[in-house]
Amino acid sequence: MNHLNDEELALYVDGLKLRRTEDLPRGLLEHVEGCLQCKRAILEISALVPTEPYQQGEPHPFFDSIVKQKRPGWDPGMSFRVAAALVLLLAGAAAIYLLSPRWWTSNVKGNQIANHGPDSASIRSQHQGFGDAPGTPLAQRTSSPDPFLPSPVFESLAGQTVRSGGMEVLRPRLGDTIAGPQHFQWRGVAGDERFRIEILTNRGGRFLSSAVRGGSYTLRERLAPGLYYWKLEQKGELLYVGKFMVLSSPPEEHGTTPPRAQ
Amino acid sequence: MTENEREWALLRADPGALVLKYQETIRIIVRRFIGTGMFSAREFEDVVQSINAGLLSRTSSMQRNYSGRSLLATYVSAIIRNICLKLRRAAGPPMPTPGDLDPEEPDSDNVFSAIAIGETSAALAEVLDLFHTEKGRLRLLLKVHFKLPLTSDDILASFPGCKSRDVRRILALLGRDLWRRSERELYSDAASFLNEREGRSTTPDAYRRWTSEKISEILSLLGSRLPEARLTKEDLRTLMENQSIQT
Repeated sequence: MNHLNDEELALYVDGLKLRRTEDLPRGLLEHVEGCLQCKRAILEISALVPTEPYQQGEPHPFFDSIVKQKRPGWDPGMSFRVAAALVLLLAGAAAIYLLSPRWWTSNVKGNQIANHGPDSASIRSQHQGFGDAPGTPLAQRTSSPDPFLPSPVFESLAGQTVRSGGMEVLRPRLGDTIAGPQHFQWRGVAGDERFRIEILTNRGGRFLSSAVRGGSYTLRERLAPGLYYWKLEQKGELLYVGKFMVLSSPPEEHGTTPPRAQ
Repeated sequence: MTENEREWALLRADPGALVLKYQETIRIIVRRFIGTGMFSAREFEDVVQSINAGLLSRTSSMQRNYSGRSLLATYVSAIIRNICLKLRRAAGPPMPTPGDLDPEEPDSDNVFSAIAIGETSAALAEVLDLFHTEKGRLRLLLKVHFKLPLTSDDILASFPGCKSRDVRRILALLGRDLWRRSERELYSDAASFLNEREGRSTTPDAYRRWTSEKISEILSLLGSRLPEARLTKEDLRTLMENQSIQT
């Protein structure tokens, strides 16, 4: 019999801790129901896991990505009551329409003329940019994610060459500001000339991942203003983490802001 | 970015830093295993170092196999458990030394003195959750077996959507004064209700045997979840009764 692997056991434990076992994959539930060994393993792991991850209130990667068909406490009788209420509401709206056409056209249509919606200038001001400019005092910052905020994960790695042995990054230098196409260049790496370069936003979102031969790569894509990290890997091994900034977008060709990975 | 996403990024970018981040968790887990007798107290530092080495040697497979469905903290706990089981198998049983934390002999009159009853109730809830399709039937039959009166909450928790008249009917039979009635009578009433709900024709005696087997399994599983507790059938009855009072 094939037992659950470590991640399946961990997922089941998460389900127990969050009281969401009914949302687990059916195959998992059916196997565990009939397997004492996996039951034991699940409970032993459950006894070991820290409680903090479940108390932080953050969405769970599996359970909170499921669209639930039934909500807690929902019963079939509730569906009929809600449907009946909607029918009554629609009937009431239809009655008002049929009985008072003059009221409808004079009041509703008039409001539509008065409330023509926000102007294009306010829309642009709401959506231009992705956060506050660097140096904006904390009290004045908006609730949007700051694209220049250093990443706690990558900041400690930035500028470090993981493998010793003469590797040198020529450009961009750590913390450089770039604009337009950017040339990435390095030298002194022994072995295979095949690399992978990844460009990440400050929130860890992957903007670009590309296989590279030789010691250079040219980034032609336009980047939105923000702080970025870039990783150089060889055969799955991390060689270097760099950091650069983009302060302003290059001139827009079609009046649109360049895309930014989420 | 959630904390889980940050840790996953760390697993990919710098697994060594992730292992460093988990040092306190590793130490807590090893102390827990010492409390259960898997390791002796003097093995503490050695076991911690072995776990660190074990995790670092498994980083490639963790990067490959972890797909982000579970929380990384839970996944790492599962890996640590595997490492500890392998350590124990390789080294043989621990040698007790003076100063080891010997678990107290359970006091038969107050078995919950060392363990919070809330933790034990939570453990029982986890164990029952593992029974999936059998859970509804099991919860009901446990109460019948221990002659604990059923409530409407019990019936609806076991069989959501049960009609009100059926709830009233079963409560009239099994909702009070169960202690006056014989086990045979109680299982007969429970069997007719369950057979009607589940479309079966299982005899009362078969339900009684099934319940006894499940009680043994539950006690064994509670031993996995709370190794220091060593719960008995009477303790299980107390837990079921306590859950009834709370609801």
